[in-house]
Amino acid sequence: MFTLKKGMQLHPFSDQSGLSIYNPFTTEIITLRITLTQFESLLLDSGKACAEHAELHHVLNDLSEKGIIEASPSPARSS
Amino acid sequence: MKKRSFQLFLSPFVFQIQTDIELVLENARLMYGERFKERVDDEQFVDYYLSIVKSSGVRHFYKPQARFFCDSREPFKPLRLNQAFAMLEWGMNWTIASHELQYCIVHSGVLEKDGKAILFPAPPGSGKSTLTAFLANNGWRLLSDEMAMILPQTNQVIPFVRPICLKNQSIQLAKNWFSGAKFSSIARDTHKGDVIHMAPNSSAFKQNQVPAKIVGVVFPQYRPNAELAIYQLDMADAFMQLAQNTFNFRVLGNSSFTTLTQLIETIQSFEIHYSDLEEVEAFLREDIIERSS
Repeated sequence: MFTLKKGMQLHPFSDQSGLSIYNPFTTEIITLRITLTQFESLLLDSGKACAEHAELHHVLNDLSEKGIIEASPSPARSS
Repeated sequence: MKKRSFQLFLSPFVFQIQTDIELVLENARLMYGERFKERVDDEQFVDYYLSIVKSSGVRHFYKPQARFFCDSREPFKPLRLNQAFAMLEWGMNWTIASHELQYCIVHSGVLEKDGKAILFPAPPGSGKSTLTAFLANNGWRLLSDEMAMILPQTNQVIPFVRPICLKNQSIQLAKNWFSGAKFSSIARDTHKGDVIHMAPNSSAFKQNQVPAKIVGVVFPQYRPNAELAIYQLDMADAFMQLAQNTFNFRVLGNSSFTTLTQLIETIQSFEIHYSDLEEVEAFLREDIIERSS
């Protein structure tokens, strides 16, 4: 599971053509050709998404290396 | 010629320029008309102090050159003396693009009709300036040939009216089309080829404090003998292209990101391939200006 790092600006375009993320610490802009819902699913369940689409693994690695997202502990399972 | 200073009142900025090059003085006077003040007003607040002067030393005698300074900084290598006025124009562009933080500055032509503005961001060779010159002489108001100065967090662009820079084959075309226009002397063999500047018409200068609402962005690509081809860009694509053409995106940071993403949400974005300027004008007027609110 990943989360967007604090301070990142995210803009999902209303025509569903993608979303842009601005990293104010490096001034880099990343544009992904996925919707906000797809992006949130990717962060939330990265294991499943990467298993279904191998290229998403590279996307996550790239975003992580660029300091845009960070791994976060999965929520504890209720017994 | 001894060093002399003059002032240019080019809303929203005032420049004070020192020169010992007659060619610079003559062309500035011709290009800027009433905005050119021969006599320096010491009480006037000046935004930028620039100078363009002859190089000194032995070279001065056999291959005279011009040097450009912004305060004491020299951002460019010297150029041939016959290129001095073009160098001043490029130096003014560099000065604004490098120092201004009040505006989100996009490398773009800007033209307005009925209070609505269209941005034309484009790399060299795309025909942007020829298109700008054509529109500016066919019922559109010139806000800028070179930079769109967008007020942050708004869709308003403010004018920065300056001469239009035309290159190579465009020079003769413009002289044929606009016989009543004023042209600078030609700067031959620059890194862009032969270059000339065309003075804005008086109405552009008269309205140089009137902002306009941005309703479209068009990325033009001149293709010889091509029929007009229009491609609508999606928002993600248009945003990335606009951001890449923004001079001070990194300096403004969050503010420019917000400004450009909000802008893209409210305007139409196109890429066009063209050869016929009248076709382009009709498309811009009918499909962007008249259809936008």
